[in-house]
This record gives sequence, structure tokens and C-alpha cells, in this order.
Amino acid sequence: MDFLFQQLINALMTSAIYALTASGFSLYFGVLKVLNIAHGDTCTIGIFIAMTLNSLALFSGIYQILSPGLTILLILVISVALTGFAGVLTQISCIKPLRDAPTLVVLLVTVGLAIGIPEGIRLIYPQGSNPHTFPTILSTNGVHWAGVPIRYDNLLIILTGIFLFILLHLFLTKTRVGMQIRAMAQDREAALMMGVNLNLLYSFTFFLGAVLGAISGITYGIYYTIVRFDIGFMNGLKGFSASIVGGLGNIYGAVLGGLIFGFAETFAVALIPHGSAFKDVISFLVIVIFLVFRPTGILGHRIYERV
Amino acid sequence: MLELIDVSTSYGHVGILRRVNLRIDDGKIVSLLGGNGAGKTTTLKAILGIVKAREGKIRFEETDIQNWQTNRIIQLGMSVVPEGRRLFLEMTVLDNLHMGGMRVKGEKELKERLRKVFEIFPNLENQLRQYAGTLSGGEQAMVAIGRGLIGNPKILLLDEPSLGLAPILVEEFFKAIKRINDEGTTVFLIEQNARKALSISTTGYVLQKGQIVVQGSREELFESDLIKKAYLRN
Amino acid sequence: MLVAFLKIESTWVLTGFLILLCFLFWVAKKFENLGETTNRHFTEHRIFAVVFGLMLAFVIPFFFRANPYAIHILIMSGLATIMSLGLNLQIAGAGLPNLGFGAFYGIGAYTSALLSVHYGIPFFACIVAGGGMAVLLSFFSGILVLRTTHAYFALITMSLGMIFYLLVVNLEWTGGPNGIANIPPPSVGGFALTSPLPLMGTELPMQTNFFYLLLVFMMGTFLIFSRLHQSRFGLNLNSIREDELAASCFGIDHVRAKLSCYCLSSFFAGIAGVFYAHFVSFIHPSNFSIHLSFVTLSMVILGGMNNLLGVTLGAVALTLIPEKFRAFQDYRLVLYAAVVIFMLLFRPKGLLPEKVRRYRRKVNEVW
Repeated sequence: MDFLFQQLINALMTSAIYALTASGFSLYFGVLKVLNIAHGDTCTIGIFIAMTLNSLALFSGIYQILSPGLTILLILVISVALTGFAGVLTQISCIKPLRDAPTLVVLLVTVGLAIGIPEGIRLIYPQGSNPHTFPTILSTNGVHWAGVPIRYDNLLIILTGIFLFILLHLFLTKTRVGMQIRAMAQDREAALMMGVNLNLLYSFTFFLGAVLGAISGITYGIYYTIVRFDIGFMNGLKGFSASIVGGLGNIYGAVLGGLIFGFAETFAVALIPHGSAFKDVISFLVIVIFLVFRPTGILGHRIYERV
Repeated sequence: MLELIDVSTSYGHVGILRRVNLRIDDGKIVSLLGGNGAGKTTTLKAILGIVKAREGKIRFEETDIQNWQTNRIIQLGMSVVPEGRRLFLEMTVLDNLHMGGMRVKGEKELKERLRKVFEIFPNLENQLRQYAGTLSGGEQAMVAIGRGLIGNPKILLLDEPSLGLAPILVEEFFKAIKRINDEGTTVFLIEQNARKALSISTTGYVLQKGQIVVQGSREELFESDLIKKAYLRN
Repeated sequence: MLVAFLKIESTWVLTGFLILLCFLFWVAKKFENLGETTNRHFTEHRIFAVVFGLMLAFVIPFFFRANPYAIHILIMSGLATIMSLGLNLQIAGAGLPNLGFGAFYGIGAYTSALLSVHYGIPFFACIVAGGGMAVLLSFFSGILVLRTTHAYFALITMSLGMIFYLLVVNLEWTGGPNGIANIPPPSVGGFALTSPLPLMGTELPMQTNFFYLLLVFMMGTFLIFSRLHQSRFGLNLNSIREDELAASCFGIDHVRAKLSCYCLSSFFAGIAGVFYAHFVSFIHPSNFSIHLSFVTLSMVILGGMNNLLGVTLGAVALTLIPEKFRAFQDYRLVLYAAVVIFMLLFRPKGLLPEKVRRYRRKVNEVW
């Protein structure tokens, strides 16, 4: 029973991480019709910026000046924001010029970025090729509930995930910008005719996606504690398959996909011997099967091809 | 108010519009007629900046706008009812109307504009929470025009609004357009239904293969042989 | 010039050379016709170019008899060319963006390695086996994935490529993360290709044997791909690339055409893989990761879509340049990524444009 409960917590954690990444993918595809393979790397960028800032803070003694809690918060906020801007930068340099190019070309460019960015990080960050420990910013204490230990940070992550999604949902449905994003997703030209500032929205969507990615990455760092320059790729691909399962372009599908994926993976690893070696294979098999048989995912929109 | 001077556009190497000259005066209804593929929608897109004019000038109230971004042009006071309505089908009627009201500043102003729209199309008030995709063709057309009106535009551009509508509705819509014009909005009407369009217009232009072949006042156009043979049947 | 390039050791000269290349590229961009002109020259003087090329290729090992590694690099670029030609047929010919192409290279390599190490099967039989395995697997995967298009196809093939890599790394009987070692070299009539070649009075290093063998393979590959490009089959593929629906309205069985193209390219990838395995005698899963597919992709994008000469140039250039810049070895992948991004942003058609088909005299007269 304890075992089951522990796995449940694990599953929720991994689901949260995947769902965050997946919603980024869905955002890019749904709104901008861009399949951004490099999205996973926003996670890595977020992680590494956070680690850099942390080292800086330790070195300059800011931890002594401000309270640890405040410093950590600042670090998190700044790294997320900086990653957001990195996303905007990518958008302006690589995606915008290709706005009218076929989706395939954009995809190839994002593949290029997906390969180039981790390499860049590896080269820039000192000792980039080695795994690093993500600083434990939350205590490893926890509560006991029904006789099972739940770590505080796990709880925080799950709650953050839920909170963020509610926030995202509200943003998209209740705000003006959110409405514009939804309109742009449905009919780009009509949105243009209503006076939507396409450039601004493109940049904003990328910012939002990158922020989601950064949060996902930091969550990953907190949970797994060991990070490498190339985890973004794997994490991204898994988040990607989660979004395909739920339906590309559909944020709620991303959450659903993240849940399905997180649970499937956690329980597969727990129950199948030598499961952990093959969990990545599962992700890719899922991508293949879904793309072949049901590319629109479980909740997705129908994709019609104009004859 | 809106002028196109020697405007030419192309799609790659293929020329679409060739030296088009158009003039829409304040407060008037001007029609652009022509068959399929003549370039009518391209003209609209050129005005809006969606298609870049390779040559020529587009002038709106003394400002040259031919190189402007679409959202800036809209801000100047143009509203569009695109071909085929182009509603946001997965959004509610209210949301669609709000999308048209992006120029409007302030909640109160927006509510006021909505009220004005409901004066012309009273049925809309009951359908606000419905998803636009569930409406009938005629109802969608109403929403589309409402969406165009809500921003209190100086000029309303309509691209084939009667397309796909039942004849009895067509009558209704042209009445509504006339009423909108009576209340002060300039109207630029792109249509294939020449008779109906000319019946409410002050002046008209006929576009054929990207060039203006006939232009003039309503009376002149009704008399013209070209129009008679091609569009008015008897 | 190529020989001179390979002999350069100093980093400064190399950097200068690279800058010169960039300048040349910029010049080429200014003059769009340059690509067309190059195409025309090569077509008109085709026979001369081929003969000259062959003579040059035959002679090259003599220049490098003191530097076997240079020949090694040339062999690698030859393999890269075969891969690129295969991928080119898929991407540029049929519009199938295959991001998992490297997997078939790996399939050929592993099949052959396992067969020769565990069962002692001779090289030439392994070629058939490796190529055959590649065709078999591509056939079955093709049936599954060829129904998807464009971006989705790219994603699926990328996933398949990753599945291959993960399986090969994790399974015991493929050697796991250690790969397979001690793959026996090919032997022709008792003469093992790992012994030096005595020719024309001098003793050439053993790489030369592989070099000449590869040359034979490459000639065959070139011939086949060139014929395919010119043929009805190539035309069908191109029309499928442009508009699949319209193509089928003209009676083209697009399923069969795409499957043939897919399997054929995979066959060549498989053969290249077999050659590679027996050449380096030690294969490792990391050779066959998605990076390989990506690198091949960059060669095709750089060289020119559907232009055999361009693709070859791209393959050779992108193999030689990173090798030469040993100091920047670490930056290899960044280079490839930069090439892809840069080319797609500014010159998506590649360096040399697509060659127009040559039709027979008779057809021209009718027109």
C-alpha cells in the first residue's frame, strides 16, 4: 500500500513536469502552427541560468544580505524571465523570418536549434559535459500522511503545477491578450484583420512557452537533482509525446497527456523489471503509434487538408 | 477618404492587380464588382496591408499607408467583414464581437458600442453565449457585420457579404448596410451580386483580370453595356 | 586545391580559409546565376568531368601515402556522400523528410558486424545481408509511417531513429553500450584489405584498399541515383513531392513510389553501414544516434536539394572541414546546427539549385 502511494506521488510529479513541457508544445503548435522541437531546451536553459545565478549569489554573499527565501525566489523569477526572453530572441531571429515558410522548414530549423543549444550550453558552462547537482532549494523534510512520507518539495511541485494550469486557463479565457491568442490560433488571417499585432503576439507566445519550459526545467531539477546539458532534449521529447497523446494544439490535452504519460511511465518502471532502461523507448513508441493512427490525439482538433 | 493610386500587386512573378485606381469618398457607398478571380479580395488585402503593393500608393485620409502593418492600418479606423465571414468558430458570439472591438478603449465605451450593434441586429443579444460555429449562415453574417461595426469604424470594408445567403436574407442585409451608411459610416462593398450592390451604391468600379474596366456613378454603370451583358442579364 | 587543403596544418591558415569560404558564399548569393552556370558546365562537360574525376581519385592515394589518416577522412566523406545521396532522394526527390535515416546505416553496420563476428560470414555476403536487412526493416516501417506527411513524417522517423539507438544501446546481444569490436576486414581472393597495397612500385597504406573499393561502390551509387533522377521514377517522385493528391489523380501509385524510394535509399544506407563497420572494425551505438541523421541532413541542405553534385559537395565539405579544424573539434555539432539554421533561413534550396531534367533530343524537337 505504501509502495502504491509512493508511486502515486512519483507519478503526479512526473506528470506535472511533462504536462508543463507539453503545454508549451501545444501553445506553439496551436497558436503559431510551429512544431518547436527545441522547446525542451528551454527547460535546460532555465536550469542552467538558475544554477549560474545561484553560484553568483553564493559567491557574492547575497544570501547573507537578503534572506535565503527571498534570494531563492529572486533567482527563480529572474531565471524564468531570462529564459522567456531567450525564447523571444529565438523567435525573432529564427522563426519570424520563416513565418510563411512551410511547417517543415520551421521544424528543421527547430531541430537545428534543438541540437545546437545543448551543445552551446555544454561549451559555455564550465565543465558543461559533466552532470551537475541542482541546488536543493527546498528542505528535504516532509510530512507523514497515512504512514507514507511526502516530501515538501514534491508537494510544492504538484501544487505549483495545478496552480499554474489554473492560471494559464484563466489567462487564456479571461484576458484580452488571451483572447487574441485564441483567435490567432483559430484563424490567423482573420485575427490579423481584426487588428491583432501579430509580431507582438508571436513574441508573447514564445515568451509564455519559454516560461513554461523554464518552470518545467526547474521542477525537473528539484525532483531529480542531477542535471546534464542534454536532458532538455529527452525531457522535451517526452513532453512532446505527452502533448501528442492529448492532442497537439490543445492545452487541456497537454495536461491530460502529461497525466497519462507520467502515470504510464512511473508504473511501467515500477512494475516491469529492467523497466527504466526502456522507458524512453516507450515514449518514442507512443509518438510513433499516435502519429500514425491518431495524430490529433485524444482531445485534439481535426486536421483537415484543403483539397 | 480612401484612395488607391496606380496600385499593382503580384504573387511571385504573376501580376494580380495592375495599376488599380479607386476612390472612396466620405460617407458614400462604393462598390467593387467583378467575377471570380478578378482580384477583388486581393484589392481588399492590399488596402489592409496583408498583401504588399509592389507599386502605387494607398492613401487613407491624407496618410500614405501602403507599407504599413495591418494592425496599424486597422487602428486608423478601418473595419473588415472578410469573405466567408471568417468568424472565430470556437469562440462565443460575445468573444467574436469583442475581437472586433479591439480599437475601443474602456469598458463603458465597449458596452455602448455593443448596444448600438444590437440596435441594428437585435437577435444577437440572445445569442451572446453561443459558440459562433453553431450559428446558421445568416446569423453568422449578422455577427460578422456586428464585429465590423463595434469598433465604430470610419470605413467598413465588406467582402462579398451576401455570398451563400438565402435571397430573403440578402435583402435584409443590404438594407442593414444602407442603414449603417445612413448613420455615417463610409462603406466599401466588394460584391459579385451587381444588381443588389449597385442598388445601394453611389459609385462603382468593375474589376476584370486585375484592372478596372468600368467605373462611374450608379446610373452610368446601370447604363453601361458591359454591366448589362455580363451582370444584369436583362 | 583539395590536396593543398588537406595538407594544411596550421590553424591560422585554416581560419583564413574559412573566412575566404564565407566570402565566396556571400559572392555566390549575390550572383544567383552562379549555381545555374555551374550546373550547366557540369552537364555539358559531363564525360570529361567524370573521367577527370576518376583519374584524380585513382591518383590521390599516391599523394597521401605518408598520411593514411587523410585517406581515412576521404573514405568517411565518401560514405557520407552515399548517405546524403540516399537522403536526398527521400527529401528532395519525394518530399519525405526522414530524420531517422541514420538508423538504416546502423542497421547495416550492426547486421554485418554481428554476422561476421559471431558467424564468420564473409564481407561480400554481409553486404547483401546488411543491405537486405535495411530494406526489410524499411519496408515494414515504411508501410507504417509513409501514410503521414511532412512534419509528422519527420517526427515519426526521428522517433524511429531514436528507438533504434535506444534498443542498440540497451540490448545485450547488440553489444550494449560497448558496441561490437574486432570486426574482420574484407578480403578479396585471400588478400585481406588491411594489408598495405603494393601498386606501381610503391607501397600504399591499407586505407587505399578501402578507398578503391569505396570508389567502386560510389560509382555504382552515383550511376543509379543519377539514372533515377533522370527517369520517370524521379519525375513521379517529384510530382508526389509537389502535390500528392494531384499526383495520384494522374495515375501515379504514390504508395508504391514512396515505398520504393524509401526502401531503395535505406538499402544504400545499409550498404554504407556495412562498409563502415568493416572499415573501422569497431562500432559503437553513439555512431548511430540522431546526430548522424542530423549531420546527413545538414549535408543535403547545404549542398542543394535534388542536385547530386551539390549534395556530394555538401557531404565532402561537411566531412572535411570539421576534421581539419581539429582545434575546434568540440564545436562540430554547433557547426552542423549553424549550417542547417543558416541555410534554411537564407538559402533553403542549397548551394546548387535543382537540375532540370535532360530530355532526349526527340522530345525537344517536338516542342
